[in-house]
Parts: sequence; structure tokens; C-alpha cells
Amino acid sequence: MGWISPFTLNRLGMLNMNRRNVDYIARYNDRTSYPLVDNKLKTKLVVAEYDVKTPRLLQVVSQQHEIFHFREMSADLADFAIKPAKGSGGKGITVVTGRDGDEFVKASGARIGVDVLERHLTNILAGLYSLAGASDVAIVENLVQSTPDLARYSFQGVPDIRIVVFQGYPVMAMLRLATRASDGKANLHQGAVGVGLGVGLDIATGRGLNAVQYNRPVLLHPDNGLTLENLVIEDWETMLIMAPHCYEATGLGYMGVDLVVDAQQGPLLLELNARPGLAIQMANGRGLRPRLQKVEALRRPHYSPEKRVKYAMAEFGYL
Amino acid sequence: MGEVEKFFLTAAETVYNARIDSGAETSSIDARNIVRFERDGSNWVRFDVPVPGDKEPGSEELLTLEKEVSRRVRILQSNVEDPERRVVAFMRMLIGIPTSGTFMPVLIAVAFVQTTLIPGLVAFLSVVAICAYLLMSAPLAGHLTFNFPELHLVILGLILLMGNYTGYKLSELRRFTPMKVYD
Repeated sequence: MGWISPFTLNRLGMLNMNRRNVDYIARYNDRTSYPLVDNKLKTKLVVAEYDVKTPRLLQVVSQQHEIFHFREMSADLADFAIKPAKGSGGKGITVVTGRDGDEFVKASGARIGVDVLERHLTNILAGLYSLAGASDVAIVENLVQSTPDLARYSFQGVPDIRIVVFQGYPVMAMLRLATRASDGKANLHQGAVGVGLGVGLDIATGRGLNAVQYNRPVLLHPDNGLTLENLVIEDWETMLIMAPHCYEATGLGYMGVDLVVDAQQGPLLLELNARPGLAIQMANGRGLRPRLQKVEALRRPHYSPEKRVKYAMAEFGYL
Repeated sequence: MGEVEKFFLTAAETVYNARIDSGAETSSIDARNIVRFERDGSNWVRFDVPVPGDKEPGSEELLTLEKEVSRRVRILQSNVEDPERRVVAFMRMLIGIPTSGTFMPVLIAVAFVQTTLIPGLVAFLSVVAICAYLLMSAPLAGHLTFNFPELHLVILGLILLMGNYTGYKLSELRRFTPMKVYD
């Protein structure tokens, strides 16, 4: 594997963990806004005021006795996802993709009864999946159906798009594709493929720039052999504009916006992240610092999200 | 579980004594001034619980709590004619006793499970114990810390400085190695 010299990293403008924490997260993210992003239910409600769509909310279970209503609510549902509002790292998320008589079929193909789901809801409420075990709220959401042209790149799971937003400017983006190695999850640590997406004007369609798996460059998807370099994302500008709207909603200066494209509803916000990871730089083959410094150096930031996106598309194609 | 157990009621942040009834589905609490009301379309209940102390019954301090009503029940008792109406609400309680560090060795054992025994022991003994011993027994360290205790403030300052280091970490020089390709 070897080593890389800090001077090379500096020349590439790589943002590192310490600088991200001290110079960006601590400086630009107000602690009082954290609950807005650490709680998926609050995120949904606050971004709705800014016309950012999220997967449709079917039920909120906040008290133990409300679990009795889940049985009747879910009786006619074919597919849905149960999530803990304060969960992290995808823990506690149960995805039901279909029905087999009275039983529910999970994404893995396993069949479970409604009693298992009710127990799962109780576990969520008791705080089994929340930080520090604090009591939590469970949300039941419509299941996102990925568009076929994007889904074919992913092994099982829904591909998602991460956009890093700095002071309301989309600065870097990547597409995360699940692989067999990542067990259908779009998490880079577990072996998902990250594809850097061009934010710049010359590639306004959101064309794939560069792809990595386990931090190493790859050209093809390891499972389906599709070329990743020239993949094109539909509705790219809509997604780029959704991201700064989330900044308006939360006020967090440095955050990660996770989007998915639903076959019916178009781009939807999945969740926000107040401490976005650094691996996006490797997926893009570019460092974040030149772009962040460019935004910091702006004497008059643009007011509207649309103008900020225009600026980002014009400027960051070359950095 | 004994007949009487102490439990911590999280809503009141107070420790109470409870009598265990293993056959009961719900538990009862001494609640006074029960008022039912409606909030956001659901039924709620406001009530006072006594704060345990050595005061006379009836003159204890009271703490007001609010909970959403889960359901209503009628209690039939053998010695009373009319059924009693009560409300059921969910409250969180913790049962157990403070252990004051008795389980510290267990924590170390759990750490050894993660590191495996031999490397864990080596790290624990060499890094922590031996280094600390050598430092403490060095005559210069003893002289400085004993005669100039304010030097600890300097160490504190150094720690604060280290916390403000924003450069690359050693592990990142490995992690970002694949970036060589793009240089």
C-alpha cells in the first residue's frame, strides 16, 4: 500500500480529518442545529418547508401503545421501510420489499411475521439503535424505487448520491453503488463503489469522473462489469439545487446531503449528515480544500440557491 | 429479584421502592391530583408523584409529570363493590444497583477480547505501566514535578495545542495513498 508524502497531499488540496473537524465542522456547524440532522423525522419536517421532497411518511411511532396501529396501517402495504429517527450508520433500518400472504418479505428474502416487526418497533423506541441508547421514535416510510437506468449500476441496494454542501454551495458529489462485497449497502467502508460526479458546467449532466472501491481506482463495477466512467445522472441540476435548499433549512455550513432518485417522485432527500466523510475526495480524485477556500474567499456570497449552484457549476469544474 | 426492589424512574429522576408482583401486566404508582387533558388530538394525563423522603405521608414534596394515555382500565378488587377506573401510561424505569467500579476488571477483560490477550497484556503492561513507572522514577521528573507543580499547566497547554493540530495524521498518509495516481 505504501505511504504518500504530506507535501503531495497538500499540493492535491486534500482535506484531512483534523482540519475538517476544527476549521470546518466546528467553525461552520452550529451545535444547536445538530438535532435537526441527527433526527431523521426532524429533518423531514424542516426540509419540507423548503420544498425539498423526502420519501413519503406513512406512520410515526413515538409511544409503545401506537405500535398497535402499525398492524392495521401496514395491512394493505406491499413495501415500506422502518427506520429509527436517531439511528446512525444504517443501523436498525428494516426494509420490507413485498408480501407473502400475511407475512412480510424483507430485502434479504427472509419472511417475517407482523409480530417480528412490532418487536423491532419496540426495540427502536427503547433506544436500541440510537446514540447513547436514548429513547427514540420509529418512522415508517414509503420504499424508494430506484430508477432503472441508475439501479442497473448497483448490486441490490438503491444507489445514493452524496453532495457536500459548504455555506450553501455544492462543492463535491459522488454516487455510491452497492456491491456484492458491501452486501447491498451503499457504504464505502463496507466495499461499496464511490463514483465521483462532476459538479462543473462542462459536465452539467452529472457525468461520472472517476470511481473507487476500497479507496482504489476502478473502471468497471465489480459485479456487473458496467463502465462507470461515462455514467450520466438525469435531473442533475435539480439535485444540485436541492442540496443548498437543505442548507437554508438547517443552517449547517458544512454538511453532506444524501439523495436518491425515485422512479415516480424523482430526486428525494434521504438524510443529512453534519460530519460528512473524506472518502468523497478519493472518489473524485480531487481534494476539497481549493473549492472550500474559493467559497470562503467570496466577498459577496450569492443569495439564492440557484445562483450558488450556477456559480459552483461554473467554478468547480476546473478545481 | 427480591420482594422489594429499588428502581429509578427516569421521568422523575428519582429512586423509588417497589413491591414486585410477578403476575401483573402493568404496575401501579402512587399518583395524586390526576387531571386528564387533550394535547395535539391525543389523550394525556397530568399527575403528581411524591418525592421519597422521611417526611410524613401526605406532606411529601410532589413532582408533576405529564404522559400520553395508552389505554384505560377498570380494576376489580375482591373487597370493593365498584370497579375503580385507572389510566395506563408508559414510563421508563431502570432496575439495578450502582456497582461503584466492581466491574472494572470485566471492562479490562472486554478490552482484551478486542485486542486478544497477549498483545493486550503487552500493550497494557509496557505502554501504560512501564512507561509511567520509568517516568515517575526518573530523578529529573520527580525534582521538576515536586518543586515546580505549576509545570503541569505547561503540559495542559501542550495538550490544548495538540488538540488544535489541523495537519495530516500519520494514519492519513497511508489512507490517502491511492491519491498518488492523481498527482
